[in-house]
Amino acid sequence: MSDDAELRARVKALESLLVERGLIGADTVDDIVEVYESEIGPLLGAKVVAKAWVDPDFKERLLSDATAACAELGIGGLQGEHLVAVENTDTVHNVVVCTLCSCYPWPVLGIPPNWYKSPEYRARMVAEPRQVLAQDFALPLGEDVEIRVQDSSAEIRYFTVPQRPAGTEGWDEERLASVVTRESMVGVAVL
Amino acid sequence: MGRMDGPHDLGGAAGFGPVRFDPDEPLFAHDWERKVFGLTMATSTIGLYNRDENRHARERMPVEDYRSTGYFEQWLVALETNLTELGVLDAAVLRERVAEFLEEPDEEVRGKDKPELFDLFRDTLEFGASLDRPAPPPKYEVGAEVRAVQDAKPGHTRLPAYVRGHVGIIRRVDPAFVLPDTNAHHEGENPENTYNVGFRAQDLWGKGDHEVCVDVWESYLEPVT
Repeated sequence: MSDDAELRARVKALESLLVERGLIGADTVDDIVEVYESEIGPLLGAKVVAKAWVDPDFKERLLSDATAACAELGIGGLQGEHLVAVENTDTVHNVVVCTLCSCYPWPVLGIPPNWYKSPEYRARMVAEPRQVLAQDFALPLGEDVEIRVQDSSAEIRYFTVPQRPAGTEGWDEERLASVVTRESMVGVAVL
Repeated sequence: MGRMDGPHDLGGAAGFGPVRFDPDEPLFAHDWERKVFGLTMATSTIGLYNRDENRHARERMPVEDYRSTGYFEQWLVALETNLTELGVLDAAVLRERVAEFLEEPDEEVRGKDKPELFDLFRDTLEFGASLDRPAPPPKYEVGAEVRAVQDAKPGHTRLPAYVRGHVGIIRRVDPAFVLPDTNAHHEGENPENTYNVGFRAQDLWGKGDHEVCVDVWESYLEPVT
């Protein structure tokens, strides 16, 4: 790996030349990143999941056309133009990976975490998901649970709808959303 | 297992250890990573290169470089490759500028706001940059058996090596999208229908009881007769 001083210099060189060419503004680049840091993240996906838990009609729309259902909540756009939501149940467990790069539903979950982008996750999740989930994510699934691995190799971006945890009866959407984790929406955790 | 076309094609690759899972890690480990992300978003927003071209620039890295660099360093390499190959920046000038910043590491890039770029980014963020296009009716229907083609052309493709030559079942018919194999090389959009195809782990790996669902373009498939 190159050292940090060299990497910093390479990044500054690109940035300064692009600014001089009038193609970008350095402050604007920071403003763009700021949007991802402050506005977009798994809290949006959590809202979608919580709504699906309390509203069976919405859940049906979500599972049949996630792009349209998320748009009802104002969620969608770049790197999530075509969304598919897959439901995890007592008998079927979906987990999402991108073996070729790092495709991820940005408008729903934000930008992907390092473990999702890591070669270990990309190499192993398609071949031995039961072991990876049990050993690396402390999620042992029963032998009777069928695992479906979704490799996002085209333009569809996936997220999973986890099962609603026991003991949350009567909770409102906002409170329900607070227990929905990013990991549960990628399928490496249950709630 | 099928041949690996590039260092990025990792599905099923042997020799990888445990996933280092940290639910609390920051989005960016270093400021330069944050900047690489921003520069990539900014330059792709103004359309200096397309999504497939950007991926292909990373995939062309030599395997030893790809494996020894972190994720955002790969993005940085893609920026350098694309911007110089497309003639947006001159490679020699870029090298010179890197040397200057190495000499003067505390020198910062001066601000300069570009509100119209931010507005364009906002629009792209909200409305997306969908690559769906009209195409003839799909050739396969849900439930059909199909085989992933054995050979991919050299260059960019989105057909993972691990499914090549294997038989799967169409699980879902998806919209037609721009074909990455030609789009990455400026050989046209050539939109094709896409499909979600389920493969049995037993067929792919000789073990396992799970299903792997892969999204593929129509020309990556052939009928099973």
